[in-house]
Amino acid sequence: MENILEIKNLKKSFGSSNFFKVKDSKAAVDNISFEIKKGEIFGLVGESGCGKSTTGNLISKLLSVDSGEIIYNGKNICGLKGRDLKEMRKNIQMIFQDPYHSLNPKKNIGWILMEPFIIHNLYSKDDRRKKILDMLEIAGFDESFLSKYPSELSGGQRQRVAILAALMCEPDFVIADEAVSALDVSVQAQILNFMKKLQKKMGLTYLFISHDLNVIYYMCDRIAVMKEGKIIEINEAEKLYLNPKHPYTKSLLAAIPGKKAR
Amino acid sequence: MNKKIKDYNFIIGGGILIFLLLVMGVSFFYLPHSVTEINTGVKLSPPSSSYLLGTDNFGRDILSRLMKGSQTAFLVGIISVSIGCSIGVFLGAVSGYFGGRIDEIIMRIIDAMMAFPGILFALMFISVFGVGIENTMIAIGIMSIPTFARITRSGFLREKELEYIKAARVRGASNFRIIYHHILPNVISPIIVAATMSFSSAILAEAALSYLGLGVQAPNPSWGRMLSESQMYFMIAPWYTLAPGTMISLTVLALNMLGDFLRGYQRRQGKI
Amino acid sequence: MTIEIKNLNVYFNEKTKLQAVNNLSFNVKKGEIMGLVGESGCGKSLTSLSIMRLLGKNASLTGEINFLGENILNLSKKEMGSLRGKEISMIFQEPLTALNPLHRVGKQISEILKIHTSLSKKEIKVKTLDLMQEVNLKDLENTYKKFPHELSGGQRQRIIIAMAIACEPKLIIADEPTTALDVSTQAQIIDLLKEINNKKHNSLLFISHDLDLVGDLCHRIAIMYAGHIIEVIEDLKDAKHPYTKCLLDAIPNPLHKGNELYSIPGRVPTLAERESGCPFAGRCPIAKERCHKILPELLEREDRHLLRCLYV
Repeated sequence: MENILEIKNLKKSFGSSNFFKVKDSKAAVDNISFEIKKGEIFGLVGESGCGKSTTGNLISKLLSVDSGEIIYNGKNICGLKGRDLKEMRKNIQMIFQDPYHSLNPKKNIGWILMEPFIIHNLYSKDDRRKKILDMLEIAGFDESFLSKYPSELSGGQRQRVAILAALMCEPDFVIADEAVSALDVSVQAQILNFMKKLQKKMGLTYLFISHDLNVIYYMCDRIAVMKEGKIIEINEAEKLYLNPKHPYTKSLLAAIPGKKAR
Repeated sequence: MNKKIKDYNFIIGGGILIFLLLVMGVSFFYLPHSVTEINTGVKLSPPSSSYLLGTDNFGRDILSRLMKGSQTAFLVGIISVSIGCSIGVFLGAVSGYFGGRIDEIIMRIIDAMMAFPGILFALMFISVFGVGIENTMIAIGIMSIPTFARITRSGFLREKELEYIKAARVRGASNFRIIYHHILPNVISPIIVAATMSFSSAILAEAALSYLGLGVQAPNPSWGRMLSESQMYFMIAPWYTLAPGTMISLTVLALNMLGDFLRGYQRRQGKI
Repeated sequence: MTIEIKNLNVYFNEKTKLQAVNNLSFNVKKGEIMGLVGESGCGKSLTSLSIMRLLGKNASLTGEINFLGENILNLSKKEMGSLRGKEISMIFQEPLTALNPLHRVGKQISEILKIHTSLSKKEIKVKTLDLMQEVNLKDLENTYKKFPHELSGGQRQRIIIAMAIACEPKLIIADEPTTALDVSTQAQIIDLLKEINNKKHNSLLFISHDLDLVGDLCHRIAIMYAGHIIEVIEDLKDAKHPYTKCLLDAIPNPLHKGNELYSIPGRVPTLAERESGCPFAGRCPIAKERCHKILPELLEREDRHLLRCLYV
């Protein structure tokens, strides 16, 4: 399997814009490198502040890198601008954490799902409608959902709409940034099942970012553990879980509750 | 208890406003007497069956002038709020959305504008560009730009960080699309409240300027001018002063009550 | 018995009387750690707020809450005020918003002692530093002077716990205290709560949505759904109620990687949608017709295992 994404020596710091030179501009992402194979679910796990969300934002180009390369399907996307950037946005998409703020509260579901087509000028009017209805069906919604507003939906329903909106232009690569962290356990299960179903149906590759080790181990094929901006261990999920090498990974695993129940 | 007050705001404010709008509406089609015809024989006569609110010092029917004046008041309100709103919202949006140096520059200009007392600015503007209703409207409009700019900017600063904006950016939306389709609809509520309040300030400002002789010029009727002209006759013909004074007060009261209601309504909406 | 709740009902007074908590009864013994688990909207937080009588004006409640034998619903505002923070204390979810951002943290702990005890200023300072040590904070003198935003999430939560144990309360209510914390910090805070419980034998009512966490920490667990307690167990392995078992199945288990997670069809009913009969009937995999009509009682099956189901 070839690599769909290669990260090489990625660095990103945030400094405060003071009048005086600030010495401690800490590196949020400190020289990290890894590869993601096409079709796999790659997990990025770590505690808050470790840089995993920043990494996701760098790959989706919500933030610009300080140095390093992001190579997508063989091309470095770091310097992309204008039309090329917009083109790339069709292929690399993102799902966010908070279902209550990830949809525009003033627009109905139909508008939200139609927008990607309008932005990228895809398909004819009839085709657009058909594609939207197809996507709704995969999520288990019927046509009446098109006129609903986000405030009328539950957290799980909103998250499914957010996922659909990300997939309208049929991307290859989807970054899920804590996509289930704000959901109840039973709703989380729904969304994880839904994401797996979509992966099979649309041939997606996921970068799954989370702080929840149970979810990461369950979903992912390979996992990278981050701490303070660095990747400290990468391995296949089972191997990492059963035989962690780095002491930090070991301590993270030891801290997961639920030993008694299982 | 609070809810009752909010309801009264809506009922009373709305009621007065509807009444005023009706008066203005009627004035386009029917006025009891001519607004400009001078009739010294009946000057300063008290309210009677033919002159329902009496006459002024030129014998003109006060009611007719009052009704025509409502057109002026609303015209000034609409035009000046439009000027202030369109320019203010644009500046606030650009400032809030792009941040950085653009934000700094625009906000310093806005700060400078706010440091100037509004009426003083209007006086300066009119002394440079001349008197009359057009310049009055422009001057008052410019005065209200900072309010709209700041409200819009704070709304943008708040919404900009939310996830649906990040999602729009990741989907490939252009800056314009994000500003216009995503952020603006979500910040419009406080702008509408500001517009209501600005409307009432505009009417007051026009009254003040016309009172000073700088706004609407004779013989066109304006409530402010009528106040000014009636001043010296107050002791002998109080109805002449009371009429435009009451109209100004009622209009401003109604608009402020509605503005309060809207603000309370939004606050309840926001809390849910 | 430290606290005994009998037939608690919480309503929201709007135009239609919506019931958020239905005829809730449970108790917590001295020294016991009781878990109250459920998903969003089940009423667990409302229950804790009811005990503290901190519900908003638009809520009303009926029933009895007997704290150390006395029904605290009958107490005056003043009497309740002297109870809160002293006999019953609370730990909230979000440490940053639970602390006053403008006051130094040491002062915030001292404030509790000032209100509820008659110690001198000097004695209060000594006790405050003692408390900070008890919650395993380091570098006490410096930390005492810091503001909340200068501390990490774990440190802030320790300050809150110090405030909660300051007056040696009989009952501590912890409402999702570790949800906003990292997993390793969470483990430390849980250990701290266990340590305090061992030393002081206070009762702890631990509210969470995390079944695994509660399973590790608590002596007994009450599971709530849509305003009702549907099961009370001592060990998650003994869970029999369909909802509890569904929840356990929905948690991703790394050892069952390939299988699809069990996800309960439908969603939790909102307050307005709740109907008669068993609250879970609409989504239960083994529900029969009777379930929609009759609300099962919460009955004791075996030794201290309470279950609300007609068919299990």
